Amino acid sequence: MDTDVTMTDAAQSTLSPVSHAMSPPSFEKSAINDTQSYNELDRWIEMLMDCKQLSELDVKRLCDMAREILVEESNVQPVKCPVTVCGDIHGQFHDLMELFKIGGPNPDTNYLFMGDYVDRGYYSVETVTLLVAMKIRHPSRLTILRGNHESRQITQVYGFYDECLRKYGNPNVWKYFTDLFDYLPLTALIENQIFCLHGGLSPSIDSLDNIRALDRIQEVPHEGPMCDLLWSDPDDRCGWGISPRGAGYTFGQDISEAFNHKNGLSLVARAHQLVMEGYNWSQDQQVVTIFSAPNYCYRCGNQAAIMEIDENLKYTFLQFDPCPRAGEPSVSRRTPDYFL
Amino acid sequence: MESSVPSDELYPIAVLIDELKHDDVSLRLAAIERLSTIALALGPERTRSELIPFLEESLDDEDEVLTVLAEQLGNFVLYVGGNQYAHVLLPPLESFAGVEEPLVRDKAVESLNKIADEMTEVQVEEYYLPLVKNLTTADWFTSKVSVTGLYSSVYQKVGAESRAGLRQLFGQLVYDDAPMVRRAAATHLTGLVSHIDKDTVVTDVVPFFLYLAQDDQDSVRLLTVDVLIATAGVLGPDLVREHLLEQLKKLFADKSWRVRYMVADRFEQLAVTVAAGDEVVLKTHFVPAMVRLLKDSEAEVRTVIAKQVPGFCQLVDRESVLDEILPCIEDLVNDPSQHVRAALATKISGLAPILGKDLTIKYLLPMFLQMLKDEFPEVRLNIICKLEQVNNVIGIDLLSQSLLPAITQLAQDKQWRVRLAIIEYIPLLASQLGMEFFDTQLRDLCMTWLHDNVYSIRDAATENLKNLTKVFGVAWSKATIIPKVIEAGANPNYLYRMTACVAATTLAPVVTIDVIKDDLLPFLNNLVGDPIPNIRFSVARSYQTVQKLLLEKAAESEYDSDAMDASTPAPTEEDTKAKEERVAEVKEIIRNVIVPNLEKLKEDEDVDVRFFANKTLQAIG
Amino acid sequence: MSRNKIVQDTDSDALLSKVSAESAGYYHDPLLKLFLPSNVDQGDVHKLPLFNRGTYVRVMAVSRLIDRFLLAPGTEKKQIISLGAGSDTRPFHLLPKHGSNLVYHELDFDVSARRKAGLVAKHAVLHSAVAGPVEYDIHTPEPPHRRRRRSPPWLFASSREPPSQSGAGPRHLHSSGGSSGGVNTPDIQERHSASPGRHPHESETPLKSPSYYIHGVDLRQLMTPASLQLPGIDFSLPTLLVSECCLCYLEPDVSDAVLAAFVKAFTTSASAASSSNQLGIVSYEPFSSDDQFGKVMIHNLAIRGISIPTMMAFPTLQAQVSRLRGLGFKATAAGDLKFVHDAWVEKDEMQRIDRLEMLDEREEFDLLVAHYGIYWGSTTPESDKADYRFAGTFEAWNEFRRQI
Repeated sequence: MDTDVTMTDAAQSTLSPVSHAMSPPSFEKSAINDTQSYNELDRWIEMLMDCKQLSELDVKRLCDMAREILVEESNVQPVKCPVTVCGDIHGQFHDLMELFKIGGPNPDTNYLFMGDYVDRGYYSVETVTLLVAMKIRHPSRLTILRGNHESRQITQVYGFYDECLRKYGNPNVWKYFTDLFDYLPLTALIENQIFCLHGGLSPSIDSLDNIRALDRIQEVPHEGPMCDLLWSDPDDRCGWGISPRGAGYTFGQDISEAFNHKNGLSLVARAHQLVMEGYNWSQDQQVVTIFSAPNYCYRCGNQAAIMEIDENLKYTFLQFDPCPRAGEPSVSRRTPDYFL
Repeated sequence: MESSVPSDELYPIAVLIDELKHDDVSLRLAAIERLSTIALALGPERTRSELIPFLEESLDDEDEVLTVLAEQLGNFVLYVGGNQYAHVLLPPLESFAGVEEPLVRDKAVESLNKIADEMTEVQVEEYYLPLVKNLTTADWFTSKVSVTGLYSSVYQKVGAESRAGLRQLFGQLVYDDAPMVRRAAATHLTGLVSHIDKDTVVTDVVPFFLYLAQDDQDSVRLLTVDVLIATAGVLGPDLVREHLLEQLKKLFADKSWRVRYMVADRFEQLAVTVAAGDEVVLKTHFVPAMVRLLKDSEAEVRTVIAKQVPGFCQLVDRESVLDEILPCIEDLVNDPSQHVRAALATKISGLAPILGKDLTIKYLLPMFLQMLKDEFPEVRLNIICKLEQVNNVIGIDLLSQSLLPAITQLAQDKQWRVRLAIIEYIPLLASQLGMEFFDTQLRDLCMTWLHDNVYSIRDAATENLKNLTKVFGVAWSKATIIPKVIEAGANPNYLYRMTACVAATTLAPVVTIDVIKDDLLPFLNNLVGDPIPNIRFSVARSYQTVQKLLLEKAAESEYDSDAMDASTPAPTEEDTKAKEERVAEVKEIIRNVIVPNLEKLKEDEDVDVRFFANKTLQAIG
Repeated sequence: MSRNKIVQDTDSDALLSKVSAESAGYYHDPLLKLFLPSNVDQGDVHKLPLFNRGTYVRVMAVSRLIDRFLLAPGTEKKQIISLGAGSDTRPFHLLPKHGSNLVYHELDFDVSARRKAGLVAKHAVLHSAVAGPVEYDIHTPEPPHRRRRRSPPWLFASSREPPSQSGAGPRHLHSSGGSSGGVNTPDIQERHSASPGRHPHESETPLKSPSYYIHGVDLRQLMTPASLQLPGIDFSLPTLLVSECCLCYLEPDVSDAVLAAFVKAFTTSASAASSSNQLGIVSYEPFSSDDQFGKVMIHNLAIRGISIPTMMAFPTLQAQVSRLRGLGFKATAAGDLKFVHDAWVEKDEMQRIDRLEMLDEREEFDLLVAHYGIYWGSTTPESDKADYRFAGTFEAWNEFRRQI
């Protein structure tokens, strides 16, 4: 019975593997293309949905599989509508579950996540493992981009490294994931109209082809176009400005208008900044910020939001609050820091 | 040294013992958790002579290690050689009972109590009483706090003379300078008093209670409420009123809200034990106290007393309820604190059976209606969840007529969890309202949930349609529900078409073969050509459920689920023949409609569609 | 855990924050590490950049206000009374600089006070910062059974020798049976020498010197002018009260009473009458703003057992300022840490700290620091003035940009 599926799909693998957006070519020829792998992935996903981490060995296998798929994706990964666009998650696993309760489960609902899966929250390991597992299981139903926290350096400051060490007793899992992060696409393009990325624009980039030409398989650099895409913020002031974050730039409405115009875009959708309502229009609707971690860091009291784009490119924002935390017994032991 | 195990098996024990001394706290912890293994290997004698003294020296270890150790020692009587050696466990536990960390002390006390249970009276007198005395007269408060928890178990074990001594020692704790010791004494007096006879309670315990109930510290006073209840249990109502009522009245009006909180929280229990059905006492003391607490200045107090209302109202005459208590409840409906209102909302329906139909309509219904409009979602939710109680009193007609506008409003609540609660309440409401009323008042509402922008609501809506079909039958469903589902399948947004597809699949088990065949299946077939792959693979998944149901239903002896609950006569030959025909027919449908569609989906350009199509084909076989 | 203990622990929280900011290079304070518990390595203390920057702003702001007070023209002697001083290192920086012109009092729970006095006695660098003869009174009424180091076990030696004692039955608690080395015998003796009968509310002064005092006292005992008669406090000196996240842990009526007692003691005492009755205050504490962030903060702190009653009682900067003015600090100004960060840090300095760490949590930083206020006020001038300007010793405070 099992072999039937394998054989049928194996027949498909002879299809030409070029720019076939609906079915990523790598998937057709990868080792994940058999019922056994599907069953294992389904089992992993089921565990992870219960917030149970995978074994170190399984994480390694997961990352190996994911790399095969991600390496084939473009720096400007084409995405079809309909799709639901999400911002930062930051290890807030239970709020990610709330997000799926609002937006619908994957693969039924297509998702595009714009980075920052790890750091700050208490469940970075479970969060990023789940999203990567879902990506492998249904590559055309889920797109995951790189955020500025998907980096070796930042994760050592903001918690993912420590969490891996705490949960696995060694840094191997951190290493598997941060090595995998190098392969995450930097940006996505929905129906050639909505440009999605974690941070913002860069003075070194004025066309999407500039981005396509970047060699992204590396640690996020401290400066330069790849850094800017993951770090920049829109600003009320015109032109380029120095970012108060210490990396990337701020860009004004003139910049985003010019960029959208030159590239035939209707909108830049990005994440990266905490916005109290969960989403925030700026720059005369040239740019929208989406932030999907409610009560960010268990401290900020903000709402979260996701943006549903339907098959006619009509978008709807859904806001949501943190999931009720009654079922989380350990949370009382870990409360966020304040000045005391 | 003689050992009970061969020497080569000593090795892992040696490792464990080394780990007991290891610098790494996690290793020490692991070793302590396996202490019984070590003890078993050493045998009782070496456990007594080496292990226990060694553990006693572990006093300077980390609290987490001590906590586990203190707990383990409670189960150690077996390992030191049985009951007659139980006392060797006392010295380490005595020291643990004096450390600063409360967790360690609590475990030590727990274990000491367990050990006391296993000791004989002689052992207790010889070894345990000195320990109690040492701890009671220790310098530092930690020991004194711990020892309060030992009196109850030891008191039962000893003779009259020692009992008098114990009461006197306990008195030292009651009159201690440190408030934490007095607090602990008050806490454990509750357990101790039940082992003391009535006369001695009057002479010895009542003075303790009166002293503690007038403590400077409200944290001590508040604990005396439970002491009072326990004491009353021993004394019986007459003696309680003679000795304790005056003090209870002072506690009712204590200047500290935390004390009032406590009496409010135990109000019904106090009324039961102290008033014990005496109407005069209830009316002169308890009803005025209840009224005062309902009007308390602190929201916390009002929150807990609100929860006591129905229970207490059962004890008192209707006049007091109507004239004294109900007016206060009406005020609480408008309480400035949302928590008070939420607490009231969980309990207020409990008044309906007490008041009866007419008074419920007159007094309670207006309050329900107002609370259903409360700005705080929890208040609304709590009311909804308890409506059944009211329903039983006034009947669904009246309830639904007056509540319907509120329910309609809540069905569109901003909080999706409130909407969800309403949906879950709908089938119950429907079964009680009847079809006609439901059709005119609620049916459209149920359909709007299929178009909710929150997935979980859409999902619950499909389940709701299934439950409604169970209530009102297949014919109703076919006429009213299914056309709306099919309509939703034409929504321009794929998420709503997905819901329609799921709804059709969810309905399938509760409708007849004919409805599946004539309505649901054609609808699904239409979606095979949907431009969005998510819909196509959803259909592929639905086919699996639908084909299975078709076969099952065809094989069932009845053919109309409307008649499912009718008694089924033994199958006749005709029935058997009809069944065979039905099975043949559905197999035909599967072969000629479902399988070709799946074959088409199997060649889909989308990998997920192909996957689910293949999976269903495999299931069909 | 008792509430006192929880509040005491907030000091180690503050200390770790300061150590972390120091390690990250925001300021230089080599003395901080002396206050770290022995099991904490300075190199291991890493707080997030937003905390380092916030700590920097708070330390900088309070220091500047204190410095301007001490450097005010007229070099007469001045006094600082620091409430809930904890492990603050300021006295050891300020005392050598100002010599006999400064008297520095620190008030804290007696446990904390004794611990600090012990550290001053232990470290020459701290001790030498205090001029003149220093008198210590450091007994250690630690609770019993609180030894922390593990002693080498005397049983289960590798030779597996039978133990010297094998008697069953009740044994003496601290049978010294072969406790070779490690067991802290002196510690035990110290414990037993601690006088158990001492009244818990008695205040004490574990460190006395002509210019520096550490008083062990529960602030809740200081609600009357008479209770402020602690050794060395001079009610005739121009005095600055400093409360960094300290008074906020008291119930508002209690902290009001404490402040009122200070105002009264300094403005009406016989010795004070001759001088210009100058009492100033620098206070730093959180406020709720009545917004989502503030609500979540109150909730989260409550989970840790921390309640900051003034956060709710005085939910805005303005409410705090009005409160201080009502208590007699007629000239009072304030700014939240966000304002201070933006308005007080000079351009060069800002560039320097910007280079220290990337501040990815920019929006969160803005939110967090917008919920902490610095308040500075004085009892002079005595009459209400519409502009609330500072006068006398505190005149220099007019230089600081104020939000209110």
